[in-house]
Amino acid sequence: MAVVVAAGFLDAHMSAARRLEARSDLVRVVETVLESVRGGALPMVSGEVDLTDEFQPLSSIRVRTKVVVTTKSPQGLFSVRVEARAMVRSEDMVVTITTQVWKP
Amino acid sequence: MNSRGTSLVELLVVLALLSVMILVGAQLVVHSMELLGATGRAVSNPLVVHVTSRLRHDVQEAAALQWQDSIWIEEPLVLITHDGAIVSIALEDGNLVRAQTTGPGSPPDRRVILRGVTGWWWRNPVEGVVDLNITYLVNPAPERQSSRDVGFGLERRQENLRFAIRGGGGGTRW
Repeated sequence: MAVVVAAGFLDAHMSAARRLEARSDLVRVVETVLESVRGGALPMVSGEVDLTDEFQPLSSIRVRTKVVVTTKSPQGLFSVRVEARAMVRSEDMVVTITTQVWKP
Repeated sequence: MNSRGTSLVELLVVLALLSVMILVGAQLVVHSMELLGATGRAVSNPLVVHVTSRLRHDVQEAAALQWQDSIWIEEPLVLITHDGAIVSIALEDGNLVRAQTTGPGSPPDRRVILRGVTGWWWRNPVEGVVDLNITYLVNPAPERQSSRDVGFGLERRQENLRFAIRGGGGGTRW
């Protein structure tokens, strides 16, 4: 019984470690997308973003990234919502940041 | 009547087996907790978090780059702030060194911000955006440790960072 309990702990550890690594990657990819939009490296349009050249996750996850852009007032100001999503041990993890950006 | 109870020897043997199982289980539990702690420290390595924060601040606060290159290069990254100070970040003998010069003729303030660095690359893919690529040595993730002793061996880890320059004024990038 002790071994079964210990195995449960080990599995919980692995799951927690994967989630920690994945969350760290998702936060970094969201920052990369936001900085790309802010700097003009990505167009200020809504849609899926492919960051294969700019970002390699530290963990073995496949990150899907989406940008939603809405116009704000005054002219030239936009609300940018970046969403990074990955499956981690059959659990869907999402990190979202919304900020305001002037059109570069 | 042929009743047969449990002998003292049998009882001791059962107790010994139970003790061994509990000992093994407890060791696994303790080890798993140690691994979880090590993973947390590896993911949010305070030194790397500090260096990343330092680089983020330097690049975002810069007004311009001294020179630009759209392909990856290993040369020092030289940033010019809005008040004319020059911040240089370069790889020197395995150390990432940050040097800041506040004015002409003044000696640079040089500091090692990260040791164990094996690769330093940067590029300027479009004007106003800087990509950084740093490779450094860290303790491997717990499940990849070939020994149960934390700190056995080192592995390379790579950070890819992208920052937009914002210190030029004008407000259009904020």
